[in-house]
Amino acid sequence: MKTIATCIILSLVITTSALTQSKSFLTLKEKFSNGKDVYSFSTSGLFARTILWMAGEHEFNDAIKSIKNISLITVPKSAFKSEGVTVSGFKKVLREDSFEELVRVKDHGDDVTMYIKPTQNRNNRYIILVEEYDEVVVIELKGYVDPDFLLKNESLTFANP
Amino acid sequence: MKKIIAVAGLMMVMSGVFAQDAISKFFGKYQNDESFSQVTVSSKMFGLFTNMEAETAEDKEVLDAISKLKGLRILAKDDARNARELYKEAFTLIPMKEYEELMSVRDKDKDMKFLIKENGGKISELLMIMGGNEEFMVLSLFGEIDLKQVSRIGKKMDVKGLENLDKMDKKN
Repeated sequence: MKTIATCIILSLVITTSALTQSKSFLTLKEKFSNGKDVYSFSTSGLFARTILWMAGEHEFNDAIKSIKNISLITVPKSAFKSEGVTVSGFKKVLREDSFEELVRVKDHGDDVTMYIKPTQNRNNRYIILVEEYDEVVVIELKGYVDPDFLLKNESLTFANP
Repeated sequence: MKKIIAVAGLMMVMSGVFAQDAISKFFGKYQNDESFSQVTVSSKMFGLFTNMEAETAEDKEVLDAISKLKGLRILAKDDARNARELYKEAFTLIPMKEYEELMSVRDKDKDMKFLIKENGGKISELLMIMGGNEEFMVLSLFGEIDLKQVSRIGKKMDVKGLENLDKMDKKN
């Protein structure tokens, strides 16, 4: 009985997690999930807000108050090379999945692009693609982020040099 | 025949280059230079403000102005010993005939110039060029620009420099 209950719960968790992630994110995850030094996790917005609250990140916490789910994956650049794929290729996947670029910031070698896939009832999907020297980080948020916060934070570098 | 195709191809590429906006020439030159910071904001981002509710009439005006913008590009360099040279270089790359000078600010630390491009009586681009002792920045804001709202937009986005346009309001 315990085994059946565990199986049901596990299936529900996996199904829910898959539903909260976009086709683009799942494509990346499926491609690299068994790779060396690839890390990924998915958590509820509530859990993320609790962590941010504990860390004293109140402004960021406020901005994601309507976020229902957060997923993250980090992939070494070497894994892209060994799989014969590129970050530009992933950007194409994003465009095909109806993600549109909101803002791009290149600073000291890091390249950060934020995308949005607007949906009904503030159930947007946001992808933050961070391209560093040796690693690619992709964060997906599901829900709603205050545009004011997005606009203000793209230029923090310039506001506070 | 091959030569004709090659020349035609070259002409198409060249016409593309000339069609670029002023800041594109800078981006093109320094896009792979990691000492520069670049920000590109798309029209999609500004479009997110279209249906936002405003608490005050003043906020409504700012939101309306933001939603008419089509893009923002910034190219900046901090700790730049050659900031003054970059400032001068900017004016050699920008087709000044296309712009009208709106305002200049000079203080002991930096020089700033605000230029505008008009199309059919409407301002379609605002260019801000700033060269200081150790910092340099080119900012291009394009779309349908309401100059009265630009300094407020700058405050909303925390982009330094645009608050100088307040001085122009006070002078008028």
